[in-house]
Amino acid sequence: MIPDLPAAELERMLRTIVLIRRFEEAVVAVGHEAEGWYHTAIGQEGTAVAAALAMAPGDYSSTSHRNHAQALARGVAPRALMAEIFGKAAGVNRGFGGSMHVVSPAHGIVANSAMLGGTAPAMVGAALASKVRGERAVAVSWFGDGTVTEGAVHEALCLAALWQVPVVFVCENDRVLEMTRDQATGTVPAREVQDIPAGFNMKVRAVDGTDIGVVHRVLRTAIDDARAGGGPWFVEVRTQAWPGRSTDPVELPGGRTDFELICGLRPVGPQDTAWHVARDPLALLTRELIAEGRCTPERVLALDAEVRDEVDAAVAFAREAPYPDPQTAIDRGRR
Amino acid sequence: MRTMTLGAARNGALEQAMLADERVLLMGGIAGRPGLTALTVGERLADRNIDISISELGAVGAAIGAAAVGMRPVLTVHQGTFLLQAWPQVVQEASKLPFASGGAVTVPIVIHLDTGITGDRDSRALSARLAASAEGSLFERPWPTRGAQHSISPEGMLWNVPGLQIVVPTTPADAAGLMLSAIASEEPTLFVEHHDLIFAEGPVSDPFEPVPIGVADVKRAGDDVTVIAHSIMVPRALEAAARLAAEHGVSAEVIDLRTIAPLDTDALVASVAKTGAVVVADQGHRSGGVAAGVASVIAELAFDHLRAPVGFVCAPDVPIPFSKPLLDHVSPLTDDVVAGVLATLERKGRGR
Repeated sequence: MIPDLPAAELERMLRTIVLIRRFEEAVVAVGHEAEGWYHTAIGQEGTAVAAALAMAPGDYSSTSHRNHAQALARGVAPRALMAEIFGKAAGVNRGFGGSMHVVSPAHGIVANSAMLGGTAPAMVGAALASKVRGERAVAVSWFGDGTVTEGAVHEALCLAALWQVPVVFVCENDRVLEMTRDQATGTVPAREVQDIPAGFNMKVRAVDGTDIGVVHRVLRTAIDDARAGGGPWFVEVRTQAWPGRSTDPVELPGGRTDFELICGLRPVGPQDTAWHVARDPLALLTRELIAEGRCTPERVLALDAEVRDEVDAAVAFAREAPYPDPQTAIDRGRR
Repeated sequence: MRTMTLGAARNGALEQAMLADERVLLMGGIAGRPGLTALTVGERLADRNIDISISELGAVGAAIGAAAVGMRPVLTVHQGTFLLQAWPQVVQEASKLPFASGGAVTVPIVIHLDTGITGDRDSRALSARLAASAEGSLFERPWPTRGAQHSISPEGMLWNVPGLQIVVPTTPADAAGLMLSAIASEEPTLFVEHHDLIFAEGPVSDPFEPVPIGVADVKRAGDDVTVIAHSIMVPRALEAAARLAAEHGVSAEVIDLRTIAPLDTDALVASVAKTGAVVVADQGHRSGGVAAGVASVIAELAFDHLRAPVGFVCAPDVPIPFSKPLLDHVSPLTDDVVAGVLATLERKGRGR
């Protein structure tokens, strides 16, 4: 479904989704220059943007491993994020964290961890602070299905339910567990991810992550209810495992996103993967907007051109930006 | 000046801080019921004391998150060994988030730990002295021997995690003052108590005054040898020093580290420059812990002052046993400090 948003916000949503897509494609293309680890969120842009639109300015969040999407969706500047991925002093965390530790309190992103489940308890604590102080802030905790076997997640769910704090756990299920179900590691005995939080007596929804409109509706319901004192929520967003998402080397089967293909301005060719043609949530949303007369192919192409310029500028900035002064490491990042 | 126990002083300072600053949030404490062992505050602060269930990992993580958004949580895991249940949150999150964020986020949490070997010969003597006055529940008394997992001295392990402050008070005034400083600090801080010290009485100011973090304290001045101690080994070193003076004519200086991280290296070097000999007394294990770390500082910064090798009075590298004869054999006692100092002074006398 088309996200229930005013026209201007709807276009802003599409633009941010395209921005994240082009940003991640650029990371895949130039990330090796940074000589550091990163994880892309191609195919999951819509969930991050939907959550950001459902959140209020003072809300708190962590991010997951696929965190570039969540950071950009909440307004972190592409050049600051790209510079961080490159380990540069102008990075959002001055090069101390790299891709996996992006934190930006100015954008409500107050904790991140490269340890699976590491920040699930912290988001419960941020929500606890909100409740104790009588604020209306909600905390959003991000992780993937590969994290629900971590003890930290279970203790976070337990304390969230015990304290009845305004936290929304968003589990992006890209079926890592399902794919490893027959292996010795990564398996979970629960039939479905959503069965686990249900045991903690909290509000649980599972949603099709390829339908950005539905994701937005459910996340807005959860965040609004948590804000109103309805207690913790767990939203399982069932997404697609984009084949180019593994770490090192990251590849893009089928190449970069082609908006002429998405907008029906050129026919499907042999180089186009089934994902690009039929399953990409970005493509599904774009086509729906065009079919419903809410956007035009020309506008989509114009947005994409704008965004590509922005991402190109971010890459150029990150490449040229200086590294941090080595002594800042000994100063332990204190400002 | 007033006189009170370390437990009462620590709790009084905590309450003073909570009344002065609404951001201070107690997690896992007790409100409205008297107590020395637990973090205990008055009934009027009950709404700022959060029940943490039996979820150390989740609770420490929640404290980190609350701190990241502006609270100043003070959390207790009761028996300090339970911190090991929350180890990933301490080592991977609390210490790393401020650094990896490039300073964008601070984690001003205080984690209170009740630690140490209890029930050894010195500890049993303390229990006997307190038996007449000790009241209340089992947890409000000195503990007997508790076995391998509960007899933990975690400060050495914690010291190897950059990004954590570790304070180890031994007197009521230091406990109150370091609690105030820990709460005021922007750094994640481990407040490590030895269970047997909770009952130690001493003078404290009214109101409680902060004691700076990172400053050691000369608890007894001397000329012949420096005993560097922390936690329960400070009163044992002081008793040993009194015996050494009375029975052997030895003048021992006793330094109480008070803070392990950051370490007051200047105080250690200054004392060694005066005495020329060092014995490190630590209830932790001999290898890779506080004693080894202190000795490495002496070797690097005070080598030219040394007239004898650094002496060690530590637990050997074995888990702590339950049975009393086994426990007395491995636990560093006052007698061991006396023997360690005499052995070091013999080497000093022979020159190097």
